[in-house]
Amino acid sequence: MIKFKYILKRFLYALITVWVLVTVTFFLMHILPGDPFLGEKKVPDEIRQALYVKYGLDKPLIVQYGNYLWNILRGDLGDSIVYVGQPVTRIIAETFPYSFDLGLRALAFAFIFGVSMGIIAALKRGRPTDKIIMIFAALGISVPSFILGSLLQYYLSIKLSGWTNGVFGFRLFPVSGWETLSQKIIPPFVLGFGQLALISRLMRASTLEVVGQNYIKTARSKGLSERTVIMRHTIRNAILPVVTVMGPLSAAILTGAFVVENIFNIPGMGQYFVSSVQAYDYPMIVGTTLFYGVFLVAANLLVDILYTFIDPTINIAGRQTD
Amino acid sequence: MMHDHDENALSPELFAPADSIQALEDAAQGSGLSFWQDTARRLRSNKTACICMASVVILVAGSIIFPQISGYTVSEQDLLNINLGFFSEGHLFGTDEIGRDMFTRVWYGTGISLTIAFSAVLIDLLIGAVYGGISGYTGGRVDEMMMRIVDIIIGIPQLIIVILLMVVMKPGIATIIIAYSTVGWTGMARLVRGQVLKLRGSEYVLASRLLGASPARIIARDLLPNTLGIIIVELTLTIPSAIFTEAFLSYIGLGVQIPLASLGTLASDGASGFLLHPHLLMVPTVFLSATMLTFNLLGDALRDILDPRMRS
Repeated sequence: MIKFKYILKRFLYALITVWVLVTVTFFLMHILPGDPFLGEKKVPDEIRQALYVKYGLDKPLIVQYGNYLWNILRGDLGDSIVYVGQPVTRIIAETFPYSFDLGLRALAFAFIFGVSMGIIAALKRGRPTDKIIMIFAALGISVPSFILGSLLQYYLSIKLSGWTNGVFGFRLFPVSGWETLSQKIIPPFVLGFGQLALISRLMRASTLEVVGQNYIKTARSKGLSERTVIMRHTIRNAILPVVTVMGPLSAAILTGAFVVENIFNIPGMGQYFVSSVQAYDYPMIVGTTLFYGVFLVAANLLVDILYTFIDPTINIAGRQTD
Repeated sequence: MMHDHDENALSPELFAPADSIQALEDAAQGSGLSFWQDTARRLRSNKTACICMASVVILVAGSIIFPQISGYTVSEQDLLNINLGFFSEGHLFGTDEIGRDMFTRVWYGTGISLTIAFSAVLIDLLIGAVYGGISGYTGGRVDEMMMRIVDIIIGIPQLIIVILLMVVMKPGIATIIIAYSTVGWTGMARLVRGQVLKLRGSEYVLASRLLGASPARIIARDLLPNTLGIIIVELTLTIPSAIFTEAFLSYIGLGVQIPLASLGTLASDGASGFLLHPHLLMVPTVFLSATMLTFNLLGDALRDILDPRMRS
């Protein structure tokens, strides 16, 4: 029952957050200098007035805001200016699956490898394995993905794959695209690398903390095997902080995809978003921003709910105990 | 500080009535190391922290001095000497596609990136610490309200709102700083609020209050110094995130505009012509990564030093 109330509360906050985002977007777009009908060509005043009426721009701001909210609720985000006649929603529906696929692979990669590397580093604390993993992690949080992407594209897709092509007659990693499995290896790696580094650092720290706890000592002194102590007692507790950051991490991965899709020419939503930003294609910017916002708020909500099920000790009422 | 007990033997004068809070505080500090003396000692014995601080000094000093003494300006073009490689005559890091000196540009870019990062982080600190401090210290309904607002703002993906703001405002250094701190301060506010809330209930704050210290005095003398460690760590770790955001914005074309140059714009320019002129990507990449690495490692080291739980 308490759990249900907590989830309801989080859901309410998520709704308010989305509303704030929607409203901020609306007003930001309205304080923009300029006017959609003030082009190079001088438009007669009567025609401009007619255009205003057609697009509802002659109405008071509050009415426009109401229409805007209503359109969003109906799922109508307007048409793109650059891709003439294409509804923003259709562009999103066509391109987002690619981004989602890429993002999910990157997230899975970052989570699986990040968690394992963090645990290994913690268990081998101070030894060379730990140092190598930590250097790797430090690099991961210090090299922006567009640089890593360019470098890997050059050395793995061009140099190495050029070499395999010459010797064995096949290309190991294609330069770009998103169809075959071999095309789907480097981009998720590039996208997930930074998050992998973050997760492994977090996992290492929390594992070290858990290892020092009394219940681990108890588990050991009960005579449980090392394997059980690590698998059942250490990891299950140490992984909780990692779960809490999965929300922000998916945000980072989704936005990071803007760059990675661009480099590897993946027909995802990120590429469209970046080109719409560069072309000042406002309906596209607003539409994609809202879509990303809603998606990420939903992801955060999901993580919050998931967390209540994983961690039995969480203070469900939302009060902080410390 | 538990270990001070046996060093300070009890004496009759300790029980004399105090003249002022100042006298009490002087007595309380005793002969033990103060917080900052202790921190300074730990800092000196931590090799990573020393190296990182040295490289911060080099990065800051270099970005101020080298563009001045290199003999070139950032946007000075020399079309007869374009795309020179490393160690060319007069150009240590070569030149770019319109003959601008890379050595000057990369140091200048470091300066711009650091300026953006430092300013963004300072604004975060200013807003976040005041907001979190008030929220945590006041407590009750006010705290509840203030934190709910933070919950909502923190839910908005930062990069999304930054991009939106960058589209609306005129691109430039100030815009990046403002855009970054619009959402960035919430993390700091939460952190400070949590700390203040924790410390507010502690015995020594209670003691201060019993002695009649004003809220302002309690915040300044008792709460802030004890929160400072965690704030400094958070600040250090926010700097690479701000630099990263700037580089990201530059890559999607919303960064600082010419004639200015940042590490982000240099690296993204370099990435586009990377196959032909690898040095144009390499130089800014090394600087960018070195800067981020330095602050990340420094933050880690400072956390080890300043975290009370790490103290022996």
